Amino acid sequence: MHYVAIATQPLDVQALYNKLVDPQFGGIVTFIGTVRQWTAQVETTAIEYTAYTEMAVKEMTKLAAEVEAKGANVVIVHRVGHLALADEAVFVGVAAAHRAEAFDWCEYLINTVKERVPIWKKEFDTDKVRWGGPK
Amino acid sequence: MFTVKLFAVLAEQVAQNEVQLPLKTPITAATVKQAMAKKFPQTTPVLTDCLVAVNQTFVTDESFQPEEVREVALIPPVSGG
Repeated sequence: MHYVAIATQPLDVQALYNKLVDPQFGGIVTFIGTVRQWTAQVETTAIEYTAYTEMAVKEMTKLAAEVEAKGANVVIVHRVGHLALADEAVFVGVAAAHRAEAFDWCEYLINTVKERVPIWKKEFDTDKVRWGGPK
Repeated sequence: MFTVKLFAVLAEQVAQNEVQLPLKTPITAATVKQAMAKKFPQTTPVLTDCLVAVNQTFVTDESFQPEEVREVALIPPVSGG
């Protein structure tokens, strides 16, 4: 099973976790990215996420299917819109037979989402607005 | 003329979510960027780091005939997560 989405409403973390649960899988690893206030000396007040939604869903589906084929349930959901501090921006979850592959595949998924899924953040910092955040 | 979708910083720079550009045949990532830079020279620095998607797939060296192209997009560096 895999489930991917671009969400315009707050993420329901419990509901996304529930999608992963499966008696054949004994390890579930989830990663949740949230809006952080401080990046070194830069203070963030909010982040606005936008996406090339159709392509983002295609890219996330390719990734999810790739990991699912190894033997896992996969959930990838990314928020768009205006997010406040501590709001959940992304949920990546993997249910696998054992913890080692669940950790590995979850890390692979979030890293690859950040590299190639067409989603952008416009970060509102106290000194200025930054596309993509501090470099 | 082709409709080229724009996102994020690129859309902001030209205040449009899509633009009409004449694209030379065969269409490649390079011809899309060249056409954008010619019409909107102010985007040149950002274009250097942009990728191009044709039919919602990233392209690099592939080339396309006009009839193969349903959708073109310029993709600034992504920053999800």
